[in-house]
Amino acid sequence: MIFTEFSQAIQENVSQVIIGKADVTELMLVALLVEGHVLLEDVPGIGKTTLAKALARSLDCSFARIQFTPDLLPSDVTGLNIYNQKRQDFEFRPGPVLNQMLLADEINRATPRTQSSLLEAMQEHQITVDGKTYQLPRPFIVIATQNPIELEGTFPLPEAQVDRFLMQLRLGYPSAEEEDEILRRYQRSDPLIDLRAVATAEDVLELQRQARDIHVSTDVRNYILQMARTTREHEAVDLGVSPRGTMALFKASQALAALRGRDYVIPSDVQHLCPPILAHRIYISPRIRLRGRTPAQVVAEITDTVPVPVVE
Amino acid sequence: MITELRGGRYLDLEKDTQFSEAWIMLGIMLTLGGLLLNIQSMLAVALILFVVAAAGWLWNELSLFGLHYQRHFSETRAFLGETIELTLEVRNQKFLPLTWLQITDVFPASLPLDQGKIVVNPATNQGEYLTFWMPGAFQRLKRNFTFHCTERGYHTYGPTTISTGDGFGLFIRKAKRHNREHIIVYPRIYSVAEMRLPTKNPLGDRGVERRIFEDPMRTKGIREWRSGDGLRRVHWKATARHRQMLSRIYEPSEDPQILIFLNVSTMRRAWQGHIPELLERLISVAGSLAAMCVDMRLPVGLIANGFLPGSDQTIRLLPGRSPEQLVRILELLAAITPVFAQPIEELLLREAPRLPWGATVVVVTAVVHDELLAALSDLEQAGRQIVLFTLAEEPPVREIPGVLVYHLPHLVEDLIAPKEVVF
Repeated sequence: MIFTEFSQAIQENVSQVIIGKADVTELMLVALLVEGHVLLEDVPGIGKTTLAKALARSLDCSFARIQFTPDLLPSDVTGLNIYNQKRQDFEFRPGPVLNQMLLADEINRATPRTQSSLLEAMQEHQITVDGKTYQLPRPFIVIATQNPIELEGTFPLPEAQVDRFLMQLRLGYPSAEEEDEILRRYQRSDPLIDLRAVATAEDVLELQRQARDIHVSTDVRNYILQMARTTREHEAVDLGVSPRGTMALFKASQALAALRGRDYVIPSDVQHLCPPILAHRIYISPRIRLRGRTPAQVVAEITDTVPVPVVE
Repeated sequence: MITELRGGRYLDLEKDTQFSEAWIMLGIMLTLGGLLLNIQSMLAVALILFVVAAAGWLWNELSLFGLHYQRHFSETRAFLGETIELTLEVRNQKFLPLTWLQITDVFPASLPLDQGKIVVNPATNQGEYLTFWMPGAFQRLKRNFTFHCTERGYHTYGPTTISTGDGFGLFIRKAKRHNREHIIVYPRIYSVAEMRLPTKNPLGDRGVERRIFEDPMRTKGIREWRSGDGLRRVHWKATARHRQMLSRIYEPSEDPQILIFLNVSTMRRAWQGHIPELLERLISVAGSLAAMCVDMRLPVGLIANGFLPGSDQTIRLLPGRSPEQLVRILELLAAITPVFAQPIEELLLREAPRLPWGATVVVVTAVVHDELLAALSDLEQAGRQIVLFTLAEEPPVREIPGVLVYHLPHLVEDLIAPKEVVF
């Protein structure tokens, strides 16, 4: 399967369930192709869980959902060993993390310790329970959600943890026409139930391998580096993008170029990816935040000021 | 941006004119007189009159076309005492120059400009700033100003009234643009040292004396398994070791949260009025405590018995850890008014049952009376942790066991009139 066919098939399939969010679906496919994870931050009822489920069904991947609560334990995520009295031995009961697609709902409601157990798994692609290591399946993607308006009883992810997510996305409210279409489409049944797979996990693995071969010229590579370095030098930023972030932008640019039918990256691919990939990785000082400036605004300023390479 | 003459873009469109039908009558009479008496000069004057009137009318009709007026602020949020730069920009995007353009912009009188005077309009009681411009064809003009944030608040700029007309002075055209912008001036923030608070545990020791709820993250022992214990509670290693089902015993825990109660009343009774400067210090202390809690990574919220402008609800922001929490609290404190809904002790007792377990109640007040002390005593006996910050002249008349009291007279000593000394 080639990239454009894959992208089109998934987009069309998901659009049966999620109306009008093709750009978000494309970005999630980018994350999938670079083995990254996505943090969806948006208000309740916007379709975050539905989008994740639609994507899982489209790819014929195993799917699990964890509802994060303050009393959730790390073992609820990774699994635990239970003593079988008959066999006089421990048997491992795997946790939901051992699925190809994991939806971690309201991750900011769990304690930092439980959050860490998931985030370490995301980073290492393996879990260790009582000294025994279990590899996570491939492909593996975590889609975590956060409710930005929930104030009481939440534990916002610390900056170092948010950095582990390839991108942070918002779905946003649908337009009037889109909302009207939602009402019509969901009037009699749930289209998610009838959704069928249009690609397989093997397709994804193959495309992940091919995405790494997408050409990035020296100029574009320097452009990516310059973006990242500018975040570290910006006067409003206390903590700029890490090398992990630079790598994320690099790989994601390759994946986006591939999905758009090119075997080379152009600067507009990088510009398109800067907000979702860089904004959540920079830490602006509280004094700047109090002046109403947001990380997204700072990233937009940087994107506007870093000179775009021009091919002569 | 003003780009249209019609289409609802303008409100209160007025026409004021020096021109009247008398000019037309004069022109007609001159024309008739010139024709009848065969005087060429009269005809010429009549022609000039008609041409000037027509040109003036057309000029006036087109005067507002392509005219843009904008304000640019270097910051839209600032702290007390900071300086903000303001640039006013006029762009005339047409061939027709404007020989005169008057802009009356509503500016808050409480934020005076360094380079101009804001005049209070007695009819509207709003501050107005007048500027005169002469934009040529396709010209952009800018004027720079600075002003100091001398008053806390939610300050509004706009609307704007634009007056212009033709070059002959025959016609005037006015338009009103509802281009409101806001500048938020946060209260002053004191440091921990300025408030003379201890650097360690300024809000009291956080030892847990009572079982609030069991924390599944903290195991302090094991016991025999009981019906109702889920698989998650079973201690499997201990179970294997002892060959019997054993469950964990969890340690009690509480979720430390801080709720700041701000009493905006600066006098004992509402009808006695209020002391503005004392209120500002109270608000600053509340904001400073919120900033301190955020630095300590404690979830902090704000409840106040004051209103926001145009609202009849008390302020209630529950504790949160979001990076935006301090912004929300300071925005509320920037806008709060001295009008208060109910006495602070009533608000405390009304809110207490809804407070999360383990929340520390921090009261900031300038007036400490028996009713308030009684309410604090009740809350302390009900198991709440209470901290009282008072800016009153004297410390509380009696101690309340279990309530931590900070008396901060040094923050208001410049407001206290020296006592008369009688020899």
